[in-house]
Amino acid sequence: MNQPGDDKERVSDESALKLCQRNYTEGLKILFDRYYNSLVIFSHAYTGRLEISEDIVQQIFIKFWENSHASNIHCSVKSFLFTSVRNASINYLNKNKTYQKILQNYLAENDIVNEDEEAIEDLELAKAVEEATNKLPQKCRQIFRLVIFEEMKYQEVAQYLGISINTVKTQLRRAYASLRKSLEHLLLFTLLLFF
Amino acid sequence: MKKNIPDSILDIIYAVLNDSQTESQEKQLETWLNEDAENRELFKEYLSLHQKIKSTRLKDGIDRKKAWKNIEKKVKKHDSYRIQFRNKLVKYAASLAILITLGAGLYVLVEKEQPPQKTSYDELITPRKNQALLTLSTGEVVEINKKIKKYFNEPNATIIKDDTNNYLQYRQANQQKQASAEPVYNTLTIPRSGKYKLILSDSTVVWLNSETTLKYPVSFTGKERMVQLEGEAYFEIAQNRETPFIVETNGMRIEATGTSFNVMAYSEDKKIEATLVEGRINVYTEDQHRNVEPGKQASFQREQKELSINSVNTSYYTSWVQGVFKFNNTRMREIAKRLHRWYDVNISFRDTIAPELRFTGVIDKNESIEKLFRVIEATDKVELTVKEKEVLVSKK
Repeated sequence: MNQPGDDKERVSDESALKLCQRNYTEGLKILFDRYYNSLVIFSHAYTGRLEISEDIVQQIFIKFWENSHASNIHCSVKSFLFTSVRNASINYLNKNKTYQKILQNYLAENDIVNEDEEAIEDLELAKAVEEATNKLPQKCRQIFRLVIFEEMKYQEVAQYLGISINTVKTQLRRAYASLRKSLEHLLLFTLLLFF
Repeated sequence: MKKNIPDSILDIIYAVLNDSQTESQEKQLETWLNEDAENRELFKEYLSLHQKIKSTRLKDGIDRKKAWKNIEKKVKKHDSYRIQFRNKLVKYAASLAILITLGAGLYVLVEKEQPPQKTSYDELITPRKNQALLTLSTGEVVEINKKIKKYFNEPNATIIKDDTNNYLQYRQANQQKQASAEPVYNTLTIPRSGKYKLILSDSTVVWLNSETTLKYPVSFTGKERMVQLEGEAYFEIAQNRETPFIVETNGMRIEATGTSFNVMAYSEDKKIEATLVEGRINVYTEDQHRNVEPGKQASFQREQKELSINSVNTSYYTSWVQGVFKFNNTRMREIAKRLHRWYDVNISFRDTIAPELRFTGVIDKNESIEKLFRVIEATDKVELTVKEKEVLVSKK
């Protein structure tokens, strides 16, 4: 994903950390620009809630800033950020029973997302998902979008579209089966690399 | 293909993902997961698929601006000296203004005509051109200007000063003597705001940019033509295959036989860049060596000791020779560095965003900084407050 010419503009994480240590918020801004999105998405895999994840990640950046002053960061900047976000997200799950116990137990021992910013920021993935969703029959696609992206409950979708809950379930099953097939190559890649 | 998840379990998984499952469904799922490892793998795969699909949309919901504001607010109290110092100055100035108001009405009127927040160009900052200090082999330092004599003699060489075109030229005196003679060095130093041209004894032409020092032999004798550079210079090397021309910087060594290239190696910068316009150069660092082709730039990160080669539009790196600033999507902090060297102004930033903003444009270097600032301000991205030689940049 690196463009030629990117290198010379890119301030390394280590240099950004040094800036932070010298009290320059510019250093923190560089890391924020570089990792904020990825960290939020990473955290979201655990919390399932965007605003919670944004909170968590912001806290971690502040913690990072404070730690950088005390020279408490001994691993790479990236590992520090991702590990801290992961721990904070799992902590959140343990404290709040709003999200499911099953996912909780599962996520605590299995990372289902990787830390690689590029993989998460991957435009190809976004494109593939977009294409795959567009291939779904119209009704199926609509239901899928409402449930997955708009986060509506089955009941709400059924009411909204004037259909039965069973239809919602059937269509969703169909959508996932189709997406799984379309995105199989991407999934295999991920499974090989990160499990 | 792996076995499929039964529909009843799938429904539960979707419900779980959607946070709408019942307790009995949860138990059912748990039982199924505990049945065998393959089930757990399938579940993981679904979670991963779901997360991947969701992640593509999550980004749109992230409010980065607000997020950074939140963080900045918290860390700012740590960001003590720079910003607070500035604030104190402003406060101090404000209280001074009040004192003056109480003291004499006349001053207030004067003050009102020039509100301190507004951009003011008290001292018009126009760059001086073609300045140089020459250090002769005797250690004598000569300021190059029209008033001084036109010729200098060094062992084995004569220096001719051309006032019309503003350059110094070295002429080898005696061809026979040179092989055995110990090299004699001169140093040319260009102060801030300066620029000068130099023709070495082998006819190599060097343009030296502001805040640059070049040390070179008055005539080339040995098996190589070696000069030492700190700062920025553009070289047009006179062709000579037998004796390579070597530019030594603090961290990178550039070797050429007959080519044109620009070298930027300021000691306060994190990187050294060698940009090749034509011909071929070899660059060497402590432990690396790369061949550079025309249109490419060798960039060496001093701290990480990383050497990389990138394709660039060379005109952006050599435009200063022709007397223009050419910026192509260049960060404000990089521009600030250039302006500091050329206009001798001190540029500081009020916030952290302004230095990261990017600008594109071309401007004549002989223009006053006022005009340049107007151009930059016209983009409506930043506001510049100028007080004598201090420039404060803030995001609009």
